[in-house]
Amino acid sequence: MNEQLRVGIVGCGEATQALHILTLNSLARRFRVEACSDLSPEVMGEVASRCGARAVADPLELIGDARVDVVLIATPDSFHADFALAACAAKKRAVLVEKPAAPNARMCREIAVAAEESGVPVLVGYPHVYEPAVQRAIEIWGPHAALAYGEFRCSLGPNPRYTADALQTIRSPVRDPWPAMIAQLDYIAAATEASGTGIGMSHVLAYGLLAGLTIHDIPVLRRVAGEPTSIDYARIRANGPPMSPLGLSIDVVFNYPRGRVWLQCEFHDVKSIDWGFHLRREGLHLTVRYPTTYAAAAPSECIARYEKDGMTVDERHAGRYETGFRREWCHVYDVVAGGAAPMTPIADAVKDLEWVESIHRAAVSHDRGEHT
Amino acid sequence: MNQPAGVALIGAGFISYMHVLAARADPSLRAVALASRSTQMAEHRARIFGIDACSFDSLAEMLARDDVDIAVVASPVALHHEHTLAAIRAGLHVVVEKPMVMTLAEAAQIEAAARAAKVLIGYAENQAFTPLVAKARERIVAGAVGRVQRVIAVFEHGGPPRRSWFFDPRLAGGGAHLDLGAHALEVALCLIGKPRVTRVAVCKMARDGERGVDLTAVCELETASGIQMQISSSWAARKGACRYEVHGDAGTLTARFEPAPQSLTVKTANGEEDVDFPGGFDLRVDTYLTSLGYIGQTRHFAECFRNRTTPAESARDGENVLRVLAAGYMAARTSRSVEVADVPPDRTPIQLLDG
Repeated sequence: MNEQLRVGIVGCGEATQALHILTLNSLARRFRVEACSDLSPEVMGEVASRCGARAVADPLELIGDARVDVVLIATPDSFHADFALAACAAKKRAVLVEKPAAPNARMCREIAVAAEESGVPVLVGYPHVYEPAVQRAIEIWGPHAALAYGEFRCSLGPNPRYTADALQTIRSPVRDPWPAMIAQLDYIAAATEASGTGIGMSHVLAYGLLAGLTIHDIPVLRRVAGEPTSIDYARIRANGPPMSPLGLSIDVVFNYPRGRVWLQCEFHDVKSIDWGFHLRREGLHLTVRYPTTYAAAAPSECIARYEKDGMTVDERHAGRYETGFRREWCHVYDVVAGGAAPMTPIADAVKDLEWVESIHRAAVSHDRGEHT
Repeated sequence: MNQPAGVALIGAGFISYMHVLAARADPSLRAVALASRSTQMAEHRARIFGIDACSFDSLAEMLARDDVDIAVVASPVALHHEHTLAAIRAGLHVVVEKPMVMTLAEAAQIEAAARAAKVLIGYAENQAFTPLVAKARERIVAGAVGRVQRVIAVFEHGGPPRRSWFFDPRLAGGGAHLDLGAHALEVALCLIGKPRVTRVAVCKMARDGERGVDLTAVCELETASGIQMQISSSWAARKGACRYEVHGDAGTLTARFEPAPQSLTVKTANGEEDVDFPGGFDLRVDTYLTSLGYIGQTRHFAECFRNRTTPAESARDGENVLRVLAAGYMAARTSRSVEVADVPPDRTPIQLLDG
């Protein structure tokens, strides 16, 4: 392992600061941050000086820079496609785009086409897929096992609940309400494209929650349990204040040939996290627990419970230091330097976003009284 | 209606979302393309909307597409004239955002060109198409306040993004008085049957620095029939407010858009009445857009364009609004009253303020 890849970062928000940069620094033999870009000059300058990178105000200039090998795209969601397409056009050696790859499947497909045509590997940042506990669960479960019952739960609070603990992240000192307003309009555009304009604001916010949060669970579900055959049931409940994602609950039941998976997302103003999944089949009960969010070094765990010699055995698999983010970046390195096939390729992420849209349509149609 | 009419947007700012969502809510329409100054921005926004993108350099191509029937001009104000004429030349009906243009000469050119090309112009005063204003007008016509004597219109918020064209006098032509005053004036006029404004009695403005656009304005107007109107606009308010008070010899009607929820009240000697109106503030996307007038406006223009009838808000209204607001800029400069008929045809509002 000789080559050190030069990473260009587009978007220096808290995920970049608290997770990606710490991870890249921990993998300093493989990577160094070459350049970074952000809408806020203050944030960009501070992040650049912290990791010894160049600050480049124009993200397209950063992407086009020959000294950048790999591009990380961690901007607001609706810009992912623009920069991913530019990185494909610039023939970067790899692109890691934060989840969701795009606000909807249509935009994701556009990136996938560009990735295919340019030959640039575009990977989606799904840290849970790379979690050691998830990878162990996939191995234990095996490729063809028929699922009886699964339960995916994500109960989480708003980001500031956790980023407050992520030391010394810097935010733009300029209070400008417009980017957040436009980001909300982008999600109104995406949600109404999926389900029409006759939807409530809670449906819009739920679309954002599906694309922003449930999108972590869908690729894990598909990789561990296989592709669901259909959606049996989807509901959105808004129990919080109007126009707020707080208090939103999403329930989905996915059908499998011989079983079902209940996926639940609860977004409340609490700090405690309950995030993970259970999968059951005859003779095996798998449990995966994720650590608290925005913690760069916290481990996940996988517990396999089975019967052996008349005894119930609990096998616990947990890495002390290894995390989804580190595995993700190691994999990016293997893709670039070792020619490995991407584990979370952009073309496959289209399917994840198609499920987001299908869940949304099913929940909206339920609320309209259109039971199928 | 065989197939939906195709809508092309010129401009990719905040308001483009309203036009695209309103078109999305109307089965007779389909947004197909969008143009912006920067190719990058055009592609970004068009990708979000799921439509085609082009830059202003290739605008003619977009307007000449077979599937484009209607152009929506939502670019910076300084470009409305050029873009509207380009759309007219392409034989399209045009929806022009407010304020319509920078000068009265430009307004006259647009009206003449549209007449010659036999196309129609819709002036996008969205609030005129709200259920709230429709109901308020209905009550005023029915005599709820008696003979109208005075109208007070207030529209204020924290202002557009600081780095946007709105703060560039050459692109915006004016500040809060032109941007928000355009709404306040036209809606106030709609409420009282569009009387002719003859004179600006007084107008006070506060500017963004010495030569910048106006951040706040209070303007007193008089109509030919002797109604007094006050138009108050601000980009410097901590909280948004938008309301219309119509005072008559028998009572007062107040139509409030902001702060939400919208409301309509009539006060007379007999007491205060909260008036119901359809589609008030609602947490549904389509009813919310209806409550802001965007869906009603889009539907009305589409119908007028199909049936070749002049829209209820037309280029004539856009010209009138510009004329009255421009007189306000003159009055602010001179600290004297200004006859609306004296506004020169070739000066922009900000030029009139600079003298």
